[in-house]
Amino acid sequence: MDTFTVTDDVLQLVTFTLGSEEYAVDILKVQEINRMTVITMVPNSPPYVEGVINLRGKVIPVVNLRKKFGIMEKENDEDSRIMIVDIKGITMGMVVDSVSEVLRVPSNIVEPTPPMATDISTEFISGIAKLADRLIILLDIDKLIEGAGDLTVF
Amino acid sequence: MADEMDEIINDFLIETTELIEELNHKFVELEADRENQDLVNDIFRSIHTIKGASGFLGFNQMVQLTHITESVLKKIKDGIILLAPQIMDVILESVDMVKILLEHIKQKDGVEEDLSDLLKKLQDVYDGVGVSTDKDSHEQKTSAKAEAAAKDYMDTERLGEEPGQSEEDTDPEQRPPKHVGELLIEEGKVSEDDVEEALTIQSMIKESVDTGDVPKVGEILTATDKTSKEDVKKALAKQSGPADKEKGQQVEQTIRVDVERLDNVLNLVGELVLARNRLMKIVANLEIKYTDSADVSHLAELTAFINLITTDLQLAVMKTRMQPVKKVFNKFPRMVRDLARTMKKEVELRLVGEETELDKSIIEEVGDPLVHLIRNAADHGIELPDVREAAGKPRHGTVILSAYQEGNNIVLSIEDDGKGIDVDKLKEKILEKELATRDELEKLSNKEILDYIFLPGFSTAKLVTDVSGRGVGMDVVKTNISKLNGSITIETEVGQGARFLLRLPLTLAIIQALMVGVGDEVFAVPLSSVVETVRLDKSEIKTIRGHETVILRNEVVPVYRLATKFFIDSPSSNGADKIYMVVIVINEKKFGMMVDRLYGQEEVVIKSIEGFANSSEGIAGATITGDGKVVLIIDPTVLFSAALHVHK
Repeated sequence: MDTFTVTDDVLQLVTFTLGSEEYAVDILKVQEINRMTVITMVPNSPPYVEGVINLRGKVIPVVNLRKKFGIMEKENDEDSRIMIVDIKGITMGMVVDSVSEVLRVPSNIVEPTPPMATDISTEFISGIAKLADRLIILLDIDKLIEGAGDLTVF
Repeated sequence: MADEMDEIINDFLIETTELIEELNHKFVELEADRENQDLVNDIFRSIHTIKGASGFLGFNQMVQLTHITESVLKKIKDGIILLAPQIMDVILESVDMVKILLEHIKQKDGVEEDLSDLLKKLQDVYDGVGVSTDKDSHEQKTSAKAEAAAKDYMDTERLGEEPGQSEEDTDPEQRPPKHVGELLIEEGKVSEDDVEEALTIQSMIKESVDTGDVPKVGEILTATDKTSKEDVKKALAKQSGPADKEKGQQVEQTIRVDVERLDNVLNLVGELVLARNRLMKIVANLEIKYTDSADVSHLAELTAFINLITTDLQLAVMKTRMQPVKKVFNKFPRMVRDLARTMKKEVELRLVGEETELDKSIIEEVGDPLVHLIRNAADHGIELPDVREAAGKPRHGTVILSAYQEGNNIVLSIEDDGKGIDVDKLKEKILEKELATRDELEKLSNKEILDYIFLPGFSTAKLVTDVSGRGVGMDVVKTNISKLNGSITIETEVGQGARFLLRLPLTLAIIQALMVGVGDEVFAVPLSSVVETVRLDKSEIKTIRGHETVILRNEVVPVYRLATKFFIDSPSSNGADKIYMVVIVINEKKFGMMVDRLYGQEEVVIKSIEGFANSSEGIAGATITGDGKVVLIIDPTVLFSAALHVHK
């Protein structure tokens, strides 16, 4: 659980949706949430890399989480957002279906990942938060990009 | 706490590295100008600084080494040891060792070097062992003279009288400024007794008043009517004059800033430029819409002003990244000296235009190519002293390294007065290596033949030395310079010498680019590699041995479709009738790059893409256009590198 910020045993999460499921990342990893902008494609990059965008003068890569997780692709719409996150020092964008809310949950409701619980490969999942009426998949985004840290991951 | 210590050590590393770099330069200068006391003092101070800092940080080996080096330097400074080349070698060796120790500190590997040999050598020098006997008499004379000078110096200081002959031998800058009283006595304005009296009065006042104002000697003198206020003022001016000069030399008006912070500022300014562009567009629209509105015209005025400021700001920020080429030049005198000594040649390196400024990133990249060219000049260019004499040239050869600005470029030139490059010999070599046929060579100008030097695997040295001549190098030099969007040319005359000219852009951050369209995508091609653009008809593309080519003015040019390279669905890859070809030259080879549209030339700011390796897959970086969109910059060298190998 050290990939999440724990204050008095409360997790602060940003939740978003991909397909029919709800996901969450640690709030401290999220720099900002932007509407869709024009994405410039980068030739010969991995398929899940949507391209690059201009973030106030910085050129940052954007990853399509649906493609990364192998969820069926869908056209971007009004609700689509680019979450700007910091993965081991690299600023990058993640395309998600919609961003829901900022959530505070007690850390004791988080359970370890049951095998084959979701569509996505379990290596990115650090646990599942069980709320009264819903399940939220906690993502360990540092694991999202293999070999991240040497600033050249693609 | 650990972080703080790291920071201190880091500062120490940066500072010491800089000092060492300067030292190398200064030592070589000193060798040519042994009488230069200022230089010796400078060197002495630098070593002393390093010793002090490493002592404070507990780098014992460093202290050991610098301490003995300092002692040797002290003797040189005092004229007790004569600066012979052998002694210089030992001192330079110790400077090299300091560098090695620094590297250990940087790596934090805790490795200790075996210093005993070097320390012994230094100690020997210090003790005067190994200095040839014929120098002994001279040495004694100089040491006696130095002692006498030192004595004189002390005497004059004690008495505070006008210094005698000995002034030349001592360093005037080391002396504390004279007292006002002394100066007035020198000028003959007051007598010694008057000053003594004034000093007594001053000390009496000092004793009676605990704190606060103690009148100055000058004030007492004027108050007791011993001298006029004007004279005191003059004396004060005289007193502060040299002191101020010294301060001006030592206190530099600079601060250290992390490059990352500067890049950040540059980025923000880039954003400001984009915002300004949009603002100007909006204002232009408003002006058309509301021709009579005073508010709109005020807004337009203000926008014009912002426009000016932004442009100036952008330039100013660029300037912060500029550094004098001195930074690279400094290491060459030492290198040339060592080279000349191992090759038994006499080579003088002259540096011209060291103050010329270049962008930091270029400064960093240009070092290796220069090392190579200077080595070549010293190794292949300059002849042995006897050969030179026979040819009616001075025994010592000269290599001139100069830098100057030429329009929007900086030119670095490496010039030697050696034997030059023999074009006929070169031709033989080209034939021998089967790089061209005799007929082909006949058609080429001398300049074109000289360009063969830059082909991989080409070397004209008969004898391969450890210095140069392995045939790797010139092609690397060329590639490195091309990477910086620069060019390289050779001028030579047999027997007179050769001159290599490197033309580099002022900054790497901004380049001229040709904007091209492929499918829905737009790319920027660095204009430095573009020769021309041609509009082609589909039928002009012929296939030769499975490769698409175009005959351009009797020249066969292989063509590549950018769309295919980048897997883009576009008309140019789908067989449209009319397409554009951008002709690109890499390593003297022409390539055609097929695109759908040409948008024209633009000045673009290169940005790196986070998380992407630079130059990966033929992308050199990205830029942001006026409307805020990201456009990728193509790196033709990488993109066509595969093709290059095929055609070689």
